[in-house]
Amino acid sequence: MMETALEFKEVRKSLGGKEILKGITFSVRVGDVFGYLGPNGAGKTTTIRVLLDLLPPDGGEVWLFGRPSDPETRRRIGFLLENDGLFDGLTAAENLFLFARLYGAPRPRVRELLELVGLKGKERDRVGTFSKGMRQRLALARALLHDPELLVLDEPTAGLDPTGQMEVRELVRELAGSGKTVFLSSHNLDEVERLCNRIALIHHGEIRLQGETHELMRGDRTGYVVEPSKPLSPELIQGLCSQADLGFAGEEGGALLFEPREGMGLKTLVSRLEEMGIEIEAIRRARASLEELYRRIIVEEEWGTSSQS
Amino acid sequence: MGDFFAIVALSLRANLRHRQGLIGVIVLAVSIVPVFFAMKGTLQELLARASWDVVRPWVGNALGLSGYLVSLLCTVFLGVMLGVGTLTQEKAKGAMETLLAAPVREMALWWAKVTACFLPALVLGIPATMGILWALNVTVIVPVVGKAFLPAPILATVLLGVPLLGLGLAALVNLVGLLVANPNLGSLAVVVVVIAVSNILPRLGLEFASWAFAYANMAAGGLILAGSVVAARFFLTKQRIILSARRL
Repeated sequence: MMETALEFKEVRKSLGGKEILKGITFSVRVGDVFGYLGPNGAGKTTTIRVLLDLLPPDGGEVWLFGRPSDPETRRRIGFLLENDGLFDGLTAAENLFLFARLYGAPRPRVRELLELVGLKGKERDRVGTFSKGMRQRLALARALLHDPELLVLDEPTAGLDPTGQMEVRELVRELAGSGKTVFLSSHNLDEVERLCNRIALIHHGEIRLQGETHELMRGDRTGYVVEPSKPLSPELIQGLCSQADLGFAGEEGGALLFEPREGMGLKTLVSRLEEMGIEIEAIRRARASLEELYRRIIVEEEWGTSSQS
Repeated sequence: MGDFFAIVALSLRANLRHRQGLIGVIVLAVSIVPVFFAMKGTLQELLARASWDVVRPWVGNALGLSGYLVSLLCTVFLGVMLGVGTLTQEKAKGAMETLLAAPVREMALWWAKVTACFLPALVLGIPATMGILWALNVTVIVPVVGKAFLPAPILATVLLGVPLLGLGLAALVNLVGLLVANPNLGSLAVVVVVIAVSNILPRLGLEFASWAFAYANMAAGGLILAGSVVAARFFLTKQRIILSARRL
């Protein structure tokens, strides 16, 4: 069994009389890049605040590295919160020195990390003069100062331009590659889909979905997406429709979706299409996009709620 | 204690670089000058009126008032100005939340903030006060009396009483600043306390150059400090600090 880096067990939290977390349970395994998805106000930030002991839970337990969360285990977490949390009046190096001192990290590590995030030469510049992208990279460097095993990132690319987003994503990818466990809270579906191997979706303070990203995205779809090498004529499309056992489900952006009847394998499908004169460029298993999943759970629920009211 | 010293160092730097801190120092420097000239005139008038033995208590009172005003301005006003400016910004920009998510205790954070605004105020306040008292002696008292005059109770007031009052008020303003969304409420609390203290003490009939006045200031400072510590023990939690932040 894989070791668990983080576990939320039936965690509840109310603020101002409103229940924000309604007994949420999920776990993050060591080495996971775990995407924590949800719309604004779903409870993502509250979850992170409970995880970092900024808010005590009203019920349930938070476990870190196989034991209940305590100051000692929390030292193994590096974090980047929604606001970068940098001190504007201090220089880049001073910001890092402060946290190096708090975590007992060696001073040379500051220079090392400034170089890693591409801020070498900016050590003596006041953070107040930095662009959003530079601030975010510096905040990431701060999160890595004590070489944490679990990295908690709350909307790390929010407010960044595309270049900044790419840089931060690349950095997260590198960190994950180096064996760090990453807990990534985001409402950027594309980002989560690209980076995370496991996800959980929170809505109205409840976990609605969790598991392996590819498993969830495959979902209840069993079919195939076929990309023909040239566009199909209307006659061919009609021909596909007439053969019910092929399960032709439609065309999307030039790709054909098939949900063949039970018993028909991929080989049979390919040979039948070739018999019809369709040249195949590529074929892959059909899967729902994260956006589709999200829409199915969140948007449809919201619509349901609003139409009922 | 590591977290305390780290935050003191950070906050001292931030406070001294903050615009509000600079404004505080300028306002202070400007407001000391009129105090000096007003008191110089008063002392000259007193010394011209009668012999030294007769006017001695009044001169002591005037000197005590000068020392009290200047040290109060420095330690209280500057301390409050330094504390509120950076605290507001740090809370609004999430820096405080980041700090609290690190291995930092909320009490250590509070004491560090108090120290970081009280220490510069004290370092500037005591030399400024002693400087004014020395300048009044040199320019007015010594030429007439032939020797310097600085009663011990005045020294006790400016070196112990007012600093203790300043420390109590710094503790109060930082505690309120950490716990409420509008940090100006902290300044307001300090203004209310200063007005109350400055109204109550003269009504007690205490002379500025008396031991009773020095003790009264120490007691007031001690009470405010103790009250703030008790309140902090009950109310200062990470949750309260974070949820009271007004995001920018």
